[in-house]
Amino acid sequence: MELVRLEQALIGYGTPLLAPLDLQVSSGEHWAVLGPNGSGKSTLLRSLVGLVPLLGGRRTFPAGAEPRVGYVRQSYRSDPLYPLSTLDVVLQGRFGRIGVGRRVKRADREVALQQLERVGLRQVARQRFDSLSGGQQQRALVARALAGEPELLVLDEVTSDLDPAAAAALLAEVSRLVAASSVAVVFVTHEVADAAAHASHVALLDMRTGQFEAGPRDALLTADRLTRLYGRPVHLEKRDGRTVVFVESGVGP
Amino acid sequence: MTDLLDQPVSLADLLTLFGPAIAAAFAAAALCGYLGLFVVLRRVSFVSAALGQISGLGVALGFLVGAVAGVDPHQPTPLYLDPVVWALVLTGAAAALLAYVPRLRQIAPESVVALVYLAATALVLIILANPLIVQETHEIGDLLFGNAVAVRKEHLVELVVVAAVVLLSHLVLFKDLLLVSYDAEMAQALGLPVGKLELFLNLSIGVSVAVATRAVGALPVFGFLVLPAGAALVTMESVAGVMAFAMIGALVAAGAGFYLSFVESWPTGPMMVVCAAAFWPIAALVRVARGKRRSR
Repeated sequence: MELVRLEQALIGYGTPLLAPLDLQVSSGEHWAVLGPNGSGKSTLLRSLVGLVPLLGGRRTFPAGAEPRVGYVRQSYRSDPLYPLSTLDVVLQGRFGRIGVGRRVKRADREVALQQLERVGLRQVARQRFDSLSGGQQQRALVARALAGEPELLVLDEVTSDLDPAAAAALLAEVSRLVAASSVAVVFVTHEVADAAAHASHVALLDMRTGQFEAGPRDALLTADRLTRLYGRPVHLEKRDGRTVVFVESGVGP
Repeated sequence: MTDLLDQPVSLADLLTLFGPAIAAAFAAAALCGYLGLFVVLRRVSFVSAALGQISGLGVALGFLVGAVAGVDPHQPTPLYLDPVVWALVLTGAAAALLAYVPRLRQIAPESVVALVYLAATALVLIILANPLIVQETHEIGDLLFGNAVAVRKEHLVELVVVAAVVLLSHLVLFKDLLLVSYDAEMAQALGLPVGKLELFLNLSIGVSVAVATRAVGALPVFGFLVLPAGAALVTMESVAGVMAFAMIGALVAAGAGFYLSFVESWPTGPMMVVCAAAFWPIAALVRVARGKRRSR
């Protein structure tokens, strides 16, 4: 089921970053958005979920209604002034489902605790959110995004604060979620290997060169396209069923 | 006569003499103590001070326009000449506009708040110098600096009604208002009506400041808004705890301030503020003690 479609969309803040683009995201798809720093990846995500109005074109919902969105933004820093527990923060993810003016119920708390369990943080549910490490906060924010039982999960560089093991575990958990349900995931990453391992579709973009391509992973995740995207020679190799990525540094012997 | 003055005043006498003023101080304390949670968390403490001055400006303008129109301000007046209506309209509009101050990127937000505060204060002083409202000058002075010993019944009624409406509506919308304050972008992604909720929150603060200022004065209103909630955030570890501390702290400050001003003949509004400020060193000591206990 197609959840959200951008048609001839102009994205940006006042000035379009790219030529009009088309993008369709459907249930069960797992999208990776790749591009260099400052290429417009976060703007694409924010436009997709309606946080940034389009400068042109249309954002439509072919299934009828706007999908429930779970969203984790890049480099979010919680305001330490707020005396919120980790559970309080994760519960916020359900407020869209609960509705304005309606009370949080026991069942909502149970769902929030389940999501904390999923990201391995149930034991810190009662701790103040701002006392958690950066990586723990990031996982809790993923739990918050999942707590609303989203149809579209949008993750903007959620693994940037995590150590490699925690990042791999989190992405694997998200992949399990996609496999077990019809949720669509769109995630921004700088790790081409993560895109190769987890995504079914990729979007490559760079506002500086005007490049935007979106489609199935195997068709787009090629050395030529990545070389053009990052401006450096990129090599892909298959080892034991996994894709290994080499980027030439341009220095050395 | 001397014998009469020397006799101790009973609680009944105190309540008879100052009942409306005591009730107004407690209503303002409960309302502002609660709203202080949002004022301090949203880092708009001085916005509330500016709103108090705007409220004073509204009242002064109301008196001036009424005087120009030949209306006695102490007799029933048409609604459009009522100083409280002027204060409500000006404060509500300013609250709605100042809500966008934290979003300013090119201008330091505190500069805009300072501009509003200074402009409103200067305008009040200029209006008070007008000979047409010379009789109201003392009343407006009380309004700005706080003189809770003389509260009119209609101002008390307005305050109680606004407090009841604001507190009940916040009881219903609390979780949504807190999320919008904490993470507006997440709230928007979840489909919550962020703009409407923010407008409601700011208007409820603006209207509350206007009616509370009219009843007990700008200085105690500013004190009730920022001091107990600030101390509560230093001391308490949960939102419910902060809310309870802020409301109870403001009520205690109102009661203690009123009592001390009565027995020592000190000015009422400033005494309430001093009592509210006393929570800060206590909160700091609690914080230090807790830190030491945890480090053991």
